[in-house]
Amino acid sequence: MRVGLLTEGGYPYAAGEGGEWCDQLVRGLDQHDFEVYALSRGARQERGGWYGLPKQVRRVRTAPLWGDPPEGDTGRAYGAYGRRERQRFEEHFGELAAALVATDAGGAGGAGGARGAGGAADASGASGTPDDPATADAAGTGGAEGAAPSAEGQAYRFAEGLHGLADLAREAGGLGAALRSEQALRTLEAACRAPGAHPAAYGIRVADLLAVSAFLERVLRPLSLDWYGAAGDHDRGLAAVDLCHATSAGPAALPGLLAKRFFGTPLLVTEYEVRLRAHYLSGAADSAGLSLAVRTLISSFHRLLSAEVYGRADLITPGDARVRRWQERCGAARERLRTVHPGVDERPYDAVGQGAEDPRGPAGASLDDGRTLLWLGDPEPHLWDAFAAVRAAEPGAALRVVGAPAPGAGPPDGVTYEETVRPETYAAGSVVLAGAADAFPLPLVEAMFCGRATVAPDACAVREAVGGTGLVVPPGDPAALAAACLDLLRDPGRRARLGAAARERALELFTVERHVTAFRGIYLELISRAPVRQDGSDPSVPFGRAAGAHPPLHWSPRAASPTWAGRP
Amino acid sequence: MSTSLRAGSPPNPTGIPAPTAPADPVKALLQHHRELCARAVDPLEIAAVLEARGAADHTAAECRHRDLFSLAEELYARGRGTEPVPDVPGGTATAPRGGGLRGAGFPHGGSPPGSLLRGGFLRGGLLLEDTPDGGVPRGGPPYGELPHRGPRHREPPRGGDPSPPCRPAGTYRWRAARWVAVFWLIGYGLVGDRLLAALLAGRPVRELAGPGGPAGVLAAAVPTALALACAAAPAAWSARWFTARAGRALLGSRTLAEFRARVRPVPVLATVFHLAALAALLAAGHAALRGTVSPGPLAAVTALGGLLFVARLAASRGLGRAAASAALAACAAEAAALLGAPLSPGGGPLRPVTALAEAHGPAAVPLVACAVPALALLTLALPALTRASAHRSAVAPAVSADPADPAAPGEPRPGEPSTGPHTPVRGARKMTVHPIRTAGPEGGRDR
Repeated sequence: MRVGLLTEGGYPYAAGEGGEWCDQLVRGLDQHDFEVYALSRGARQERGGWYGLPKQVRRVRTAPLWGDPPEGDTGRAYGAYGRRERQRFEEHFGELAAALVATDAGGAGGAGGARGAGGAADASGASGTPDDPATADAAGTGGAEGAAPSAEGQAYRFAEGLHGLADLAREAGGLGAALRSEQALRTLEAACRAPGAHPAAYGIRVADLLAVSAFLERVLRPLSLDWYGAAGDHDRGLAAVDLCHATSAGPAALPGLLAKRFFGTPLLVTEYEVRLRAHYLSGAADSAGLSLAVRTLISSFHRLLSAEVYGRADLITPGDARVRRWQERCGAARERLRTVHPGVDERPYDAVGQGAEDPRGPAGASLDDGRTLLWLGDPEPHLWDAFAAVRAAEPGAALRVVGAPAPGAGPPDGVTYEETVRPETYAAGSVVLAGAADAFPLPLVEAMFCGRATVAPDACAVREAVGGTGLVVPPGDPAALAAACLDLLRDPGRRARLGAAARERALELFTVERHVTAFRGIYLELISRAPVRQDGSDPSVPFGRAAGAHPPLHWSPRAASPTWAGRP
Repeated sequence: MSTSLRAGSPPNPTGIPAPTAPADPVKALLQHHRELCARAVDPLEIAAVLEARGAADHTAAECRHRDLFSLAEELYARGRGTEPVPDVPGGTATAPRGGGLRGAGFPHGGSPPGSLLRGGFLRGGLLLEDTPDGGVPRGGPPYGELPHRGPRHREPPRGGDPSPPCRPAGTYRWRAARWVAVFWLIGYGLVGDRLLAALLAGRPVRELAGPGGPAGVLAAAVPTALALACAAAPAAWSARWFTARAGRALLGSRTLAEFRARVRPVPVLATVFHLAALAALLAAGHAALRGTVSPGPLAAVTALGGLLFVARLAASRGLGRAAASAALAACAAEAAALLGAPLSPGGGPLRPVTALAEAHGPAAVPLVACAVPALALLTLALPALTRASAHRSAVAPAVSADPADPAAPGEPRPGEPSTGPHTPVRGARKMTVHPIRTAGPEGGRDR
């Protein structure tokens, strides 16, 4: 099977998030071929080098989602389009702009729920009429201010505009120049000033129009790539791929959406970090220079794109329950969601983990000295209070913190700092404490592999990871943290039991093998449901088509029953 | 202590102590995250940030909501009402104009005087530089080694440099044509008139330089050369003024029509200012160094300066081809005059040019040859220069499409020119393809 791995700022580039699991996946599924289609996010990323690619990665194609488009002359850039193309562009871009500036009906729930209710309704179906009250009710979000019908229409218009632009870019090209042209600005301005537009969009200024159109040009660049070869081309790109696996529901999934539209390729979306949420968080950090109108339109684009991807994907695999909740909220249908936990390579921790099962340790010395706490992550203020309480009760207690000490003040009594985490580091801690993390707590899982009893704050996916094999305390509560630590420090038997259970749980749920196996099954399931494509091979090449794919026998049930059977 | 009594319910008759929770727990939350709720564009944004700040479902439960999303919706609805976002002209409350117009080139805001001088004299004024602000092209990509989390197996990219710099083929050609034309035009402006006069007079090739020899010709060209060099400064200033005005109009205009109306006179005014400055410099130079001011050559050199300035404005706004065409047309006219004088005295196909020179003096040729293309180019470029889409580089580099690319201080933001060795591939149709161990014909392998 040939899998197209679609990434954005991720896998083949070493400097990017989400590369680890892709690497594990590609190395684990060596019976499939992979083609990586990567969108890069910046010059630094491109300078940062690539992962080492195994031989099953047949090829890598990259495109920048940043920087300037090709510099054409202003006069000529738009002249490439004739009158008909210009009309088509105006129409589709107008749809897209109208969807972007439409009043948001109670968050993405309106749009998403409606899409989810519609399921895999195709874009040409009549289910997306803006005034259909039944489907709007089916969305069932009770959207604010009675604007629920517009949410349905918004998603529909967005999809129409997006796919119309994709068709235009595939047939006529020149989409980037058109998106930066004066006409795009005029269309966008007209949409913002139309009745019913978002109040924030109404106040848009010319500089904001430029910013938004530049953003759209950049983010819609996947539409005009030459990755979608036709059947007869030499370079068939995504047309030759059996399955598209997108690593986020953002721009990375755009090629997958297009491949699904052009060639019917099934689309699988895997998210360990919700792309929409990442956009909001980064936007909160660095969008101070952007006006309200720009932020509104960009957020709207990301929200609608996510809803579109979730609505069209054949299967969505969130990494944990929180991601799943976001995806459901943004319109992913529940029956197409399947959680696949990230995998951690357990081999480095085997020695420590097995040593932990033997109370005396491999070298005969006890690993568990019964008084050392290990803190993973950046130290938080309440940690010092909690540790002071622990030391007051147990004067021999020590704390090891992984990370750099704060400059200036020396570490408090009994506190030492570690440079990096190694398996031996886990071995030295009797109890492992985890700081609040904003993603799946992989260090915690590593500690579980080492068979350590853990105390973790109740945040993100901690409960999901730890299950019943560790203590979960309210976040930011020093008293609870200290009490939990003291409980575990004073009860070696409980500690050992919890540690063993944690190791069992981790080996059951969070190994790389399990991760890879889950995806292997999902790939096979998706490909078994996809229709056989007849145009996949060149008929002029002898034996170019596998015989097994087209058996001569017709396996469909008989068209008519015998007359004596009494059935028509 | 506040009790949570609904309106109309009877006062607590049972004697059960009232719940100690505040009546409106959302209000406390709203005050705590006031800034977030005021600037959020979307309930989901509030939900995302709340989640990142540690709120979870129990927080929502305390506020009697089913989940964080519905809590965020209430916060959004209430926060929006209490604190309207100020609508600052320019769209941003925090970015002052100077900050927003990064690189837009206020004469005294954007760059230190040294760079203005350098950019003005060396490349800004008379040469056809493509940077819209007329100064030094803004910083190339940084070359600091930036620490990043290295994965376990990291290798340099295969196949050598993954993305060789690549621009559309036409750009270089037109730019080269402009440079050639500029050098020719300046050279002609310095010595062309004497050469043409000598040719018209029918002197032999050895005596073309006249009685003073080549040194005399060069000495005679000194005032003009000095004036042209000094005129680089007003040219750079005019270009920057145009950019700054356009940038201010971009930030201040509410509609595209308003922007056009505000910008329309600016290119003409900038050109006029530049011409006036150049004429004054020329007159001063000639009067000081040679004692006489002849209006003919002075007007010709002024027209030359005007053509170069307009071509530069047009080229910096994407009309590089038209600018190059105008400059080349001027070159062609001058070359025709030079050729026509010795080849066919008094006749032939080049007769109109030579006749012009004979009738009005040799300075009439460059005057006409420069003024006509300059006017044509200005007429052609005016609509393009008043388009908002031609001034993209005047506003702050726009939004990046990526959420998590940490903007390092040296990172070239999208929109800045990057000239480093790893310039990404430009152009959608020319993406890099790295075939990695492709076995057999494409598509032939199917496992």
